[in-house]
This record gives sequence, structure tokens and C-alpha cells, in this order.
Amino acid sequence: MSPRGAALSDLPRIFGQLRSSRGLIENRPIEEVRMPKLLVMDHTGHSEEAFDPNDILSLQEAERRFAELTTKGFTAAKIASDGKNPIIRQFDPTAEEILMIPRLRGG
Amino acid sequence: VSDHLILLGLCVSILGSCSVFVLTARLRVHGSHWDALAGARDAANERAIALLKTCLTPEQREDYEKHQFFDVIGSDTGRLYRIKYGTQSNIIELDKRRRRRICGWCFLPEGGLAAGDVMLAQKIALENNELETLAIANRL
Repeated sequence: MSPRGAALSDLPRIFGQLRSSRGLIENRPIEEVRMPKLLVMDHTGHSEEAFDPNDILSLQEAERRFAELTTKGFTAAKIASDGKNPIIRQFDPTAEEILMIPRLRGG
Repeated sequence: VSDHLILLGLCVSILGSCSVFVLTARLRVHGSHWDALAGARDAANERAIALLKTCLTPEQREDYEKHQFFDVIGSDTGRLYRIKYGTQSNIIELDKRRRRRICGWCFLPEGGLAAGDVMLAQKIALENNELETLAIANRL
């Protein structure tokens, strides 16, 4: 069989594969993509600054913001669902949410 | 003379009406401004409380839902503190049996934050950096 003949005979199989892969994409359940973020406490409750851990520029920007706030006296703490919120001194790109708390003062 | 007096009276009454109108309009603008501020403050409070609840342990959340306070254990001394709803003078130190008040403490984050945010900052500070925090706090 010529190469062209082989290609033509393969067409139904190729289209079949395409159809089935399209079906897979269409039927795939929609997953909620949660971006990690810095939560900066302010007068609105807090502001959310999301970052993409897979994007080096986004990570660098989040790290720069973290450093900017900690230099201003903010304390950073990781938010965990178990209610333990450890304070962190270095930016943690694996944390889901990092809470930034303004400097404390006596009341 | 009487015509002039009548004219003068008319002018005065027109001016008076105008100033009352302007004053009322201004008060209305100020009123809506204050309403907007109050709305923003309420929204901030709700966001802050929602965030606080996600950061509490199950026991602390239960206490907060029932009594509007929760207890934390100091990271350095193991002493017990009760954080009540509020932004100032809202922490009391209790004895181990949670019955007797030992003293009160007051510290808060800068920036005029909502109560939920203040309480969360106080919890994290006492659970991680107790002595450093108490060094800047006021004892009551």
C-alpha cells in the first residue's frame, strides 16, 4: 500500500480519536482552580493579591510584595484549616494563603 | 419708604429660603456620605469575621459562635487568654480553670482595622510570639 493510501485509510481512525478526545475534554468535570494569595489586612477587611506559583514573574512579584510589607513592619502568617497559623519570616511559595498583619502596638 | 421696606423684606425672605435650601441639600449629601461609610464599615466587618472564622480551631470557632469570644494559649508560658469581640481592651488573662481573671491586656494592629481582623491578629500574636507581644501591650 502506498503511503498516501495508508494515510487515507487511517482517516476514520484519526477522526475517531479526535472525536473521542473532544468528548473527553467536554465531559471533564470543571475543577476549581485556587490560586495562592497574600491576604493583606486593611480597612476593607483585607485585600487579596493572588499569585501563580507556576509563573516565575508572578512569584517574583508576590515575593517582592511580601518583602515590601514585612519591611514596613507587617507580620506574615500561613493560614491553615486546622486553626494553627504559624508565623513565617521568609516568603513561602507553597503556602495557599499568607496573611499579612500590620505592626502591633499597645492600646 | 414702605415700598423699599417691602422690597427689602422680600429680598431677605428669598435669601433665607435659598440658604435653607442649600443647607438641606448639604445635609442630604453628608447623610448619604455617612450612610456609605457605615455600609463600607459593615462590609469590612463581615469580611474580617469570615476570615477570622476560617483561622480558628474547631473549639475556638464553637466558643466564638456561642459566646463571641475564644481562648488561646500563649506560645511561651502556656498561659490562657480570652479574646473577646472588640478592638480594644478585649483580652483577659485567666487562671488555668478559666474562672478567675488575672488581668487584662490591650494591643492591636495599626490601621483602624475591623474587629475580626484585630481579634485574628491578637490570636496569631499570642499563639506564636507571646512574650514579644506582651512586651508592647498595655496591662490593664
